[in-house]
This record gives sequence, C-alpha cells and structure tokens, in this order.
Amino acid sequence: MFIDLNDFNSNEKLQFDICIIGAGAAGITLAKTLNDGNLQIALLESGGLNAEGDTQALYEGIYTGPEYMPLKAVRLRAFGGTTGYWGGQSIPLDEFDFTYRDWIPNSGWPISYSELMKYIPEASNICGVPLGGYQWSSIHDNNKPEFPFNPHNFNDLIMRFSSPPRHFGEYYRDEVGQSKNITCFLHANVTGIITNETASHISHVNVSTLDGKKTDIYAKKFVLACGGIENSRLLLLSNQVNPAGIGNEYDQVGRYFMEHPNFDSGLIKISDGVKVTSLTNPRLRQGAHRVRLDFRISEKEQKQLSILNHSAFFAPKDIPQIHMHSDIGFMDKVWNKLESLYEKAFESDSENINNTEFTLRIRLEQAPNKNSRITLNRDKDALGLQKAQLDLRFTDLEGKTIEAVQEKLARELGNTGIGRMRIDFDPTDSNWKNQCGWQVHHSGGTRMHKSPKHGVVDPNSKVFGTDNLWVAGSSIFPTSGHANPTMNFVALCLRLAEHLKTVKIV
Amino acid sequence: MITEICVANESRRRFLKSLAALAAICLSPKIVYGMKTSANGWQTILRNLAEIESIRNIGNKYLVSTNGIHSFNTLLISLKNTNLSSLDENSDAHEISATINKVIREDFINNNVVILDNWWLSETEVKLCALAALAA
Repeated sequence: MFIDLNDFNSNEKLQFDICIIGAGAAGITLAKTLNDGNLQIALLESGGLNAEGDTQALYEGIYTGPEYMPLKAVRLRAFGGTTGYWGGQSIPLDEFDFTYRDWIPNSGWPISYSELMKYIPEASNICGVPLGGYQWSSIHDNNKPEFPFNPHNFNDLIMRFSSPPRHFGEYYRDEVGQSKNITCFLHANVTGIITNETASHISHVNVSTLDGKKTDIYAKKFVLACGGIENSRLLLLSNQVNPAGIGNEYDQVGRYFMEHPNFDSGLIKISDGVKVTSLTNPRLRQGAHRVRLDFRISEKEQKQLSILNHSAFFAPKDIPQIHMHSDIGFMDKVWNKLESLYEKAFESDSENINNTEFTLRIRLEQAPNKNSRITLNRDKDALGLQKAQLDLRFTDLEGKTIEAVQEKLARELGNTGIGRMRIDFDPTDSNWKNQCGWQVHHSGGTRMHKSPKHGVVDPNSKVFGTDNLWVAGSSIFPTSGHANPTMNFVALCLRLAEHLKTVKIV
Repeated sequence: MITEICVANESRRRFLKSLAALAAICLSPKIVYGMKTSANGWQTILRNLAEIESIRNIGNKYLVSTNGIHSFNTLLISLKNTNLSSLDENSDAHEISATINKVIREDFINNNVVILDNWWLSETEVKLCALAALAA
C-alpha cells in the first residue's frame, strides 16, 4: 500500500521486519522479492509518485571535476527512481570485470561472475529485457550480416533493450500499491540513521516530510537503496556516534566513485562499394524488442594493452550526447526527445544504409580511483542536511584506453579493407575530459570488498561494523565494466533478498 | 619485377599510371580525399587517370612529411621489397588490384602505417601515391 506521509497521522510505533530506504529499481526489486507473505516491509520514498521540483532539489550538490550535469538533474527522486529516465539498454558485466587485472589498481570483485549470472534471467524479467545471449551469435536471423572483425582483436557485444524501457514507477505501482505487506511511504525523507552506542546496530531511521512532519521507522533490518551518491551521503550524515559516519572506520565511504563516460571522436570513412551493415546499421529489431551490436577490444588484447573495459559502436555524426537540464519539465521533454531519437535511430537505420561517414562512440569503464569521491559540503538542503560534494576524477587509464581503441580500430579497418579512420584524439590534452558525454551511471562510493580497509560493504552487501544494515544498487560495485548497471544491480538485489531471508537478527 | 619495369621507360610509365589508377580504385586515399569511383577493369582505370590529382595530392603530402628523402628510385626500391614485386607489365588489372589490396592489409597488420592529416594509411598506399606524384 502507499501512504503519503504528508497525510499520515498515527501515534503507533511504526515497526517493520525490513526497512528499505529508496524506491528506485533496487528498492522496488528488493521489496517485491522479499514480499513472500511473512515479512512486513517498509519502502521509503523521498518523492511522490511523480517527480516534484522541491523534492528533486534535495539532490542539489557541489561538483568538482570535468564538465558534468547538475547533480539534481542526474537522478530522479520519485517512486521508480531514475528508471523514469532509463533508456532500457542492458548487458551483464563481463566475467573479467570480476577478476583482479593487475594493470588496474583496486580492480576485481570479492564475489564471482557466476554469483551474478545466477540471477540475471530473473533480473532480465524484472527489467523487461528479453532473455537471450549477449553475443552476435545469439541473434537468430537469416538476414543477419557478418561481424567483420578478427575475433582475436575485437569481440562483438549485443546490447539488449527493455523496449519500451520499463519505468519501474509505472510498471510496479499497482503491485506495490496492492500489497498488504509492503508499505511504501511517500514524501518520506530519511534524515538520520539511528544506531546503538557502538554504531553496530540500527534501531530506526528518522523520517521527515519537506513540511517538517516527522516520524520514526523501526525495523529489524535496513537496506540503503537510494542511489550512487545518496547511499554514501546518508552513511556520512549518520555521524551521531562516529564522527566519520556509519561503516567508515577506514575512511572508505564515498570513495571510488565511477561513471561511464562516452567519448565521440575520429572520423570513419567506409570504402566505396563496401557494405558492413553490422557496423553501419547495428540496430536490429527482434520481434517487439531491440538489440544493438557493439564491439570492444578482446579481453586478451585488453590485457596486452593494459587498458580498461569499454564498448564502442559507429555513431552517425549527428546523434547528440546526453546533456540533461536541471529543470524537471525540461528534463522530461529532453528525455522524451531522446526516446524518440532512439526509436528513430532504429527506424531509420535502413534509410542510413548508404551512410559512409561515422564517428566512433566509446563507452568507457572508469578505473576505481580512491580520490574520486563523495564527501559532505557545508551547504545544507531544505531538510537541514549537508549536501553531497562530488569530486569525479579520471586516471591516466581512461585516455590510454580511448587512444588504444581508436588505433586498433584504424588498423582493423585497414586490414579488413572496410575503410580508413582519422584520429584526432590527443590524450595529453586534458580538455578531452570536458568533451565527454555521460551515461549517468553512478557506481562505487560504498564498494564491496572482503576487508573494511578497502571497502564499505562485505560480499553479502552488509555494511562493515554493523549487524543489520545492507546496501543495494550500483554503489556497491568495486569495478563497473562498460555494462549498463541497472540489470546487474537488480540481479544483485535478488541475491541480497535471498540472503536477507536467511539472516536472523536477535 | 618493379626494378626491371624501370628499365623500359614506356612500359614503366604505362605501368605506373595503371598502378596509380588502380591505387585510386583500391586504396582509401580516394575515400579520404573525396574521389568517387569504384569498379574494376581497364576502362575504369583510364577514367581514373583523370582523377589522379587526388592521388598525387596524397603523394606530395607524404613526400613533404618525409622531408624529401624519397626519390622515384628509392620509392621503387622500397616497394620492390614488398609483395608488389610480383607484379609486372604483364599483370592484369585483377591481379594488380588483388596484390595491392593484399599488401595494404599486410601493412596494417604489421603496423606499417603512415599518419597523414591524422588519417591512418598504409605505407604502401602512400608510397604508391608518392610514386604517382613523382611520375607526373
């Protein structure tokens, strides 16, 4: 059921089995998965059922780093979270994303790839992504063109799309609203996580509306699921016992923040008479669903070149990068426009078959960087809480990766006879970072690790030093690969839900 | 052999023109610098002779970028050391085209790449263009 805290009056103690803070893709997945009839679940949403300007303003923060969008514009603070702006693109993380790559400091996960893949089929279902493989060979279409590159150099990747993109707020509204065991509190802003005197056990959270109506929510277990920046921010803000915040004994909360930069560069010209429709027209419809063929340098060659993971595709020169605006109404228009552009891209691929000029769009993994971090600023929001400050940083590996991909592609285009490439990229000119587009994928900040000296949550996503606080969402990712995070963290939410059902809290 | 071709001036000139024209068909300087041709056969080669300026343009850029160290003969000698040496004036258009393409692909595989105006081109293709420029 939904309860709008603005209209809620009760003197009863609000006690639940599980309290999930945040009703985006992670929070909704957890709530619906834990909803087996035996548990009373509180799902706390800062916003309403739709985006509202004053709530969205709570995302305002201070940003330092390469040119980026306003922080209040990059997440959606309403039921369903940022899936309201989701394009639906999905692919699982790569197996080698989970391993330690010795040329990428702090890379690797403390859980195995198979731990993720076990939950991908159900995560696909929840996200509305059609099941199927993620290689070109998994597409069964007699008219499918060949992938033309040498597999030793480049691997094909299939991006599958939830189509239309599944906006969790709309799609799961009835399921949550009609549930007797899930109570979704709207306009319920968590203003404090209250612990015992050793900060090892969470007793309750303070909740407030923007109008100042306050209540407390008690639960046996708590899950933070409010996004890549807010998860860290709430842990840092909860400093009543430990000045550094919860789970921050080793100064790890907020660190290793990562995004997925897009970089468009270079000019690809296809030779006269050469048809490579798998590259020049990479979008296919599979019944009602859409797929796109991308490629990346093979795992072996990535190791040889000591570069980051990435994906790439030939982009028509006039497809814009995403640059969101801070105004919600405008954002909706922008997003609607982008969605129609995506649709148009699929519809018009056949019309573009004779295009011979493209740019190369590379979607980059960012290297985990301890100094790329979220901290608290002195400025306060409308609830009196310190705003987040994001210092987003690159390492040298990102530029090295762009350079390597372009050079390898230029050679591959030549040795396959497909065409030639002009490379304009200069990694020594740091201004390239200001020309990036962004996938608006926030990862890290509360990274998963075996040790509290190097991470914030353990391999079960439990915050170090606590016995009943977990974190869900891509903020737990130690490395983010090139893959879109939503389906991946939904899979990890399924894993977490399974774990939470087994944990006994005394 | 290319060195033997050099001996006979007339056949050399005819061969080089043909080679350069085939380069226009086979090579990507034409896609990079705007020529619009694609076909096989000698009729096309003759037609392409009219568009040789684009090829020469590339060739001249390469000659400038190498500070004038290349002469007609040094280019021929360096090309002789590639699989192009299997070509002679008796080679037909198909054979010439296939051989040039093969050598160019090998250049990219072996990293024999020349960067002109930020374009990544095969060393052989730009040398052929330079040859065409010098043969003008």
